[in-house]
Amino acid sequence: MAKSMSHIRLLSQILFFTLLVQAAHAKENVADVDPFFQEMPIVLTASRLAQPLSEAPSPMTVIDKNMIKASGFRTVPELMNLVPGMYVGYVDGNTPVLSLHNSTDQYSRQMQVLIDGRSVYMPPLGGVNWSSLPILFEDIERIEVVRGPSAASHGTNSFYGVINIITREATGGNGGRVSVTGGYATDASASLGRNSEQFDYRITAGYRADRGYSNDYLNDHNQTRVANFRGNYHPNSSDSLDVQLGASNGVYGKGIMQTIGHSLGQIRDDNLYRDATGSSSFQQIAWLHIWPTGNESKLTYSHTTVNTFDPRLCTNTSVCNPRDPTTAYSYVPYSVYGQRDVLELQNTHQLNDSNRLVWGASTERAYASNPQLLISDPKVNSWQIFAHDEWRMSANSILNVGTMFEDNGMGYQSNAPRASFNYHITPQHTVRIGVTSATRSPAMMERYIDDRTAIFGGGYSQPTTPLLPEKIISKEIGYIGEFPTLNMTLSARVYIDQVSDMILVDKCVDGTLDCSKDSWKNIGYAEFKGVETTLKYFWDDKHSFLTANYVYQRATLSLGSLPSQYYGVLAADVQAYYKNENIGLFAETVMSNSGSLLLSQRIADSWQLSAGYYFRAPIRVLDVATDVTPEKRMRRLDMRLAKTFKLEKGRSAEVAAILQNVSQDEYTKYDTLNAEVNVLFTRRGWVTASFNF
Amino acid sequence: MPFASQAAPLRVTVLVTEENAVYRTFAESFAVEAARQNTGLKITQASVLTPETDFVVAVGAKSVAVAVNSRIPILAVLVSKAGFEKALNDVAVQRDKKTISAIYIDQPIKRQLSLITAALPEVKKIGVMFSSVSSDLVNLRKAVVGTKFSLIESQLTLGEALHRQLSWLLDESEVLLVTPDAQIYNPTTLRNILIDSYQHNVPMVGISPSYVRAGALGAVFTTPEQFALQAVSIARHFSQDAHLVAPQYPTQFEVMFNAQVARSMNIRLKENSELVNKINAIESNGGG
Repeated sequence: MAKSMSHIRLLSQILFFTLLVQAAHAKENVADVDPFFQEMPIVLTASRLAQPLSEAPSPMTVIDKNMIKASGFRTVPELMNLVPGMYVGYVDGNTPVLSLHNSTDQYSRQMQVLIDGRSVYMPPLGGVNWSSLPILFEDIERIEVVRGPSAASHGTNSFYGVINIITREATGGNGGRVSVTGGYATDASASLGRNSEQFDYRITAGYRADRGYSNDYLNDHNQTRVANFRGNYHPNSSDSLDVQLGASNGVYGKGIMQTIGHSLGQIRDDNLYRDATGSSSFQQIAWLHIWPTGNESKLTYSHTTVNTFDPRLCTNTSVCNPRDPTTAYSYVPYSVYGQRDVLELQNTHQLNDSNRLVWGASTERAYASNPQLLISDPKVNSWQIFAHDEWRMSANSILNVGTMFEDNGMGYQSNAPRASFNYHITPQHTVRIGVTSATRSPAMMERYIDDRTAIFGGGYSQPTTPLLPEKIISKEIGYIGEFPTLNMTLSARVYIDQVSDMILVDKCVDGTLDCSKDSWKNIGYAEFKGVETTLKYFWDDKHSFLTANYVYQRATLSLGSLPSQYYGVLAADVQAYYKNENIGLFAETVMSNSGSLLLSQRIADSWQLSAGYYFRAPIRVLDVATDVTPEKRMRRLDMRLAKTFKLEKGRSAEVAAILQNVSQDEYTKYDTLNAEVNVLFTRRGWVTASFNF
Repeated sequence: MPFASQAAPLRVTVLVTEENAVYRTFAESFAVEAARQNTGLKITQASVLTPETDFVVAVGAKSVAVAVNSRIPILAVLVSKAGFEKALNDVAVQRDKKTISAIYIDQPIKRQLSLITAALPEVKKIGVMFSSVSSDLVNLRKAVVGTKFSLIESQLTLGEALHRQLSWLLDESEVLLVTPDAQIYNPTTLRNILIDSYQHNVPMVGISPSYVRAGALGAVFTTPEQFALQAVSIARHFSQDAHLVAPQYPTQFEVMFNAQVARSMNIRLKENSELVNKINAIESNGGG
């Protein structure tokens, strides 16, 4: 007992002494300095300064802290409801589906998702594991979503769009934050930061949990624990080292209840109730060097891993029966591991007053272990070179050109150029014309799938010809109107996105009558057309705001090239499949009309009342059979009421009550079950209390 | 102007006790400008004060502290108003006010307000941070009375949560005006302050070109050459009628802006020369 006590005393003495020295040191420095002559470090460097929206090359939506708060959302996928044209659906409470064009599966293969520039899009299934995302929601500073291809700026896989989650830096100052949530969700988080002359850091730890759809038919509760560390070491005014570490660990319910027939009320044999686990970790270190000219170079290394484990996955739906021990073999423990290492060098040069050039290169190693699904453990080494120039041709016109050249490590090299021209007709009215291209390398699952695999009922086989990357060309005309005296901005856009060599199912590829195997092939050609518009309006000294979005979309699919089975033994079946399922239903897989309205009103200085209204037309998912009904149209209203308490010395506290789907709009979820029983997004609420010190 | 009518030329010592690029530039410009104007002054630069001189141009606070205890008439330059007044109070034997004067390094408050009016015409709420209530702050408060501006004040003491106070201040202000307070604005804190204010979309108005390079939107300041010009004029005046003008603010100034920061914050700036003219116009009209 005595020993541990003296340990604590020793530690506290060291801590006290360190703080004392720090304080004395700081005071000493400060007294010597003459404010008028003090040489200051360059802080707002070229890479920190965002292009104003009217000069940006791509259509971008920025979700800032105020919007995050007002929306009442507590997870990143939900925040995507604020992005015009983004479909946000849920397979179940743990499995969100996000898409900017046609709704696909839950793997978000066509979008790049980054956290602080680090891709969280993981190799094995080519997807993002949203529920085990290793960051805390409270640490998000803002999210930038590019609503179109953006390979030249955001790297590989920025196909339909990019979601870039930017977390708070370590310079948050001395202090911390604690918050708890109770109700439908149970969350807790604590964050502590310290700043000193050369080193800033922040540690955050938290827990998030909710009941999922909270529905009789789904076992989709979830709990995730997350811990993050971020530190920034800046020994002098020209170098800084930024370190980020994070880990998450969670439990995710799986399983569906039987909904029809004699087994009504029993759990489905092919999808037993069970708990799966998931974890994720990352380490990232970035060295930023500011040259005397003000140009910057940044070298970043990151290592990311994702792990999921499902203890009882049914691999043969016709056989699985938990009551029959002879079928035990058909329930397998399904383990997936993915890992990615990236080394990137990026240089930002302000060449002269009118040219800012960003260029660099990166190399990446992706590795996956998914023995049930993939042949051996594939490793893919890829590299990219990119360059982007912003050329201010005159005071009123800006030309952005760039490209990314990639070797995807699967035998292909591709180039993704882009050009856009922004012209200020008057300082308030700007027009943008752009043409952008990007490629999407096949996901590991599409390329390395094991013929013998029992997953998916053993129905897939290796592609007969090597898969090519998909290609997209996006053409758009946009308008941005800024009216500062009215506190209003208005933007609109018309676009056409053309996708060629689209990877579609290669139906009945073995050519036999029983059509036992499918594969993948680059046989599709798709076109997406749309009109988008956004209005932002502020009042009350910008303490209150309104953001409104509306999007109209259309999509068509045709077969760019015909697979040989199209005319073979199974011609009728294969043709019917493509006509009635893929092509026939494609138009229904985009939201023809969608939009959102977010209103936040400050009341009496310390109250904030906000309301979010989200609507979309019925939409069908592509991956399910024709007998699954489309999702119903959504018209959902969320509300939030918050009170802030300003305490002394800059401390504050806030209590907020959130209610989602206030009017209990009856819209159904993504994927199965809808034909049998409507799984609805039920009204749910919670209260959050937070304290900043 | 005719040559000085004194029998012997006025011996002027430019006292520079600290080695510093700005002081050096001032001293050189002073000598060059005095010669160019044929003032007939006999100028020596020294780092130690000797009694064989008629007039001292004390460069910097340290030089002022050294010179103030002598009996020689002094013109203090490159020293803040607060620093100068402190030196006056600290002196062992009180001097006759007519024998000591200064050109302050600070810009007059009205000029800084004119800069804000010229560059950011829509802005009304000015945020300021300070560690203790100084004469600068009192003057600032007085200067905004009767104008469209209102001051949002935040007092901080060392060790307190700068970030939290700053967050609140940035929420309420439309521009952050730097005060010459080294406890608040120094290389360590400027990082956080600039990053925070940029994220809140609040531009900073600094007090020297160094701030503008760091990321402040702009600053109004006087160059060493401009200070030298003004000092020569005062010295020449003194040499002719033995009259030392009262302490004053710099009369000439320049403006500097960070074009990349302005563009990123969607602030449309006019040409520097146009802005200088605008500020001059406001000053000469006695307004701002």
